[in-house]
Amino acid sequence: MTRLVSLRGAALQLRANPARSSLTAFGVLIGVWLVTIIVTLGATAQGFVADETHRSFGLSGVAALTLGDTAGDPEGPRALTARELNWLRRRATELGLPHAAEVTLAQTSLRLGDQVEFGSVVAVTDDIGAVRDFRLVAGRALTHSDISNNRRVAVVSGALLRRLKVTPESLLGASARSGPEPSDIYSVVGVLVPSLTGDNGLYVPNGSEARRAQRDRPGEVEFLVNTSGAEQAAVVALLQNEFATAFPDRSLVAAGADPAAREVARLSNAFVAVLALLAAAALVVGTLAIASVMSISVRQRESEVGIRRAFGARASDIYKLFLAEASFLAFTGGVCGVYLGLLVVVTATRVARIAFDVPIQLVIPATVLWTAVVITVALGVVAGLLPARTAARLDVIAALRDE
Amino acid sequence: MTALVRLVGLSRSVPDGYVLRPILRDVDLRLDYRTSVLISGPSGSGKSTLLNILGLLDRPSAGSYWLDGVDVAALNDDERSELRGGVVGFVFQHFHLLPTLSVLENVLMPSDYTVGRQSALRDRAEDLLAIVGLADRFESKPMFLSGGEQQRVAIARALLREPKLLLADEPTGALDGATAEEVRGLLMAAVQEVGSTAVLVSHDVARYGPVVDRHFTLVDGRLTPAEGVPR
Ligand SMILES: Nc1ncnc2c1ncn2[C@@H]1O[C@H](COP(=O)(O)OP(=O)(O)OP(=O)(O)O)[C@@H](O)[C@H]1O
Ligand SMILES: [Mg+2]
Repeated sequence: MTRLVSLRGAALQLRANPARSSLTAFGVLIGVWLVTIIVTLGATAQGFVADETHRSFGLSGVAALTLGDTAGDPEGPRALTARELNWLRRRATELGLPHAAEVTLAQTSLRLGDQVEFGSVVAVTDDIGAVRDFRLVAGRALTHSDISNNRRVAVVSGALLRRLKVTPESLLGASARSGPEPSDIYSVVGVLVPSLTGDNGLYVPNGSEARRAQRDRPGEVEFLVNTSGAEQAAVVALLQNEFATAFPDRSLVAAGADPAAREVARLSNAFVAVLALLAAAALVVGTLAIASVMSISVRQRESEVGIRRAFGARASDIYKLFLAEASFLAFTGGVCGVYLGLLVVVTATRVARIAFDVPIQLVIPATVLWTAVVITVALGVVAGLLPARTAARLDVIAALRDE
Repeated sequence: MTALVRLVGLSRSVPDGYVLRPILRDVDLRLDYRTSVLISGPSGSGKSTLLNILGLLDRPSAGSYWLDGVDVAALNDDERSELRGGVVGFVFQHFHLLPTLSVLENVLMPSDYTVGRQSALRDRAEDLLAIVGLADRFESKPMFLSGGEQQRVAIARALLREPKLLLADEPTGALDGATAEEVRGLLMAAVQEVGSTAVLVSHDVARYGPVVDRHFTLVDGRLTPAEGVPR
């Protein structure tokens, strides 16, 4: 009951003393607001960088194995053969690694309605969903069932959206053509998040397409294995060695192990760490705001403390009164801060997308945000502890004396 | 039958430089239930100090104090707060209302520290405000009330929990003559109605002398029955 009384008192205080209370809540609000913006923009930027890196160098968890230069071969590198791909599949299965193959065909014309775009068709095999992290703006990803049944469906690159100036939804159901045959028509079921580098990929299930491509026009054939960053180098080395033994004078290179991709990931982590420090500083500012306003509050309300004590309030009641007020203000400020911060970030990414054509995808790290609110309330309580103790220990007679 | 208040050999001194300065010296007092007492005396004679000790806000340096049969020397701070909330009501010279609360909320403030039925206290608060003539001002803020009205709110607040002991330090000291007379009348009537023992401190002997049961003077820390006490 006393806790309810304290909370009601805190709410009353907020109503009764809006200027001071909202000032306190405002301090916290600014802190949490900054944290929200910093953390959300950080996560969004990191996601963006990761997406771009993914497209430029291959995802860090995915190693893309291709055939390297074959020494002494005047024709240069050729595609992995079906036999070699089967060997890689078997080894990857034995090692328990999710895997898939992608066969990029040479330039192909894509027709979407009456518009024509030039791009590449990427024929994918096996469970591509277990390897590639398809981020979609509309529709669905290719499923295992699409691929094993060789359905005529496609997931298209988001870059097309800007070229064709259409909405993601309008691409769904459109038919894409990769060649002159009736079997070269695919129905679009998903649209990927647009990227800055903007490849024109049209991902389709494998089958005759891939086999034909390999036979007629040796394109790029990549075997993808999904490994965690730490063991990636070891897995890649193992496969490379065994492959060299199984197929003498053929060698594999790993694109996903590109050091540039790792460097970018490292930099973006450092960037987020700096942002986290800024966020922590913002929270400290919020805490100091509560502490200072609370101690002013205690001084201004000395006579109230005396009056309440005269009417039977115990020292602990006074303590709770001020502590509840600090927590209440911190919580109110924290929640408002999160919402206002999200408002800013949502607006900012929308402006970036619409006005500056930066295809950034908002990432809201909800757990981080709620942790920030919880920490703020905790800091609010901590900041309220000392002033509350001062209030509880006030000399009642002095507090009641007329100034 | 036990007395409501019993002081035996009570004294209070405060440090003054290197020596202890006595403020109250060897005070003996016995107050029954449902009586009214006036304490008068010159400024600085220790009247407020005595009231603070009676109200458990201050502790004596020596001597004993039984309040409602309880030896208060044995109580810790929380127990004193509880006894104070249960037995004592205060009326201050400068009203001491909480400026952020409405009239009704001010009267109900002591209920924050009372266990029991809050709705009954609310009814009582409304009755008391009606008795002091403020039935139509429940929602007003203290700053919009006159001094006399503020003190009437304070009287209602002090009597909310029907205290056995009402302590009033110069209750009309901040009011002009006519208002003081009106507030005094309301205070005495309300005290009568509730059945409290009232200890009034005032130098206004002419106003309070005739309406109290007993009259003491405090001079230089010594409490003595006043000459020519009525009744
Ligand atoms: N805590 C204290 N420390 C030092 N001196 C004190 C303390 N409390 C009271 N005094 C002194 O004790 C004396 C009596 O004070 P008290 O307030 O009881 O007088 P009073 O009779 O109420 O006077 P007044 O009519 O002016 O209100 C004063 O001289 C005062 O300064
Ligand atoms: Mg005094």
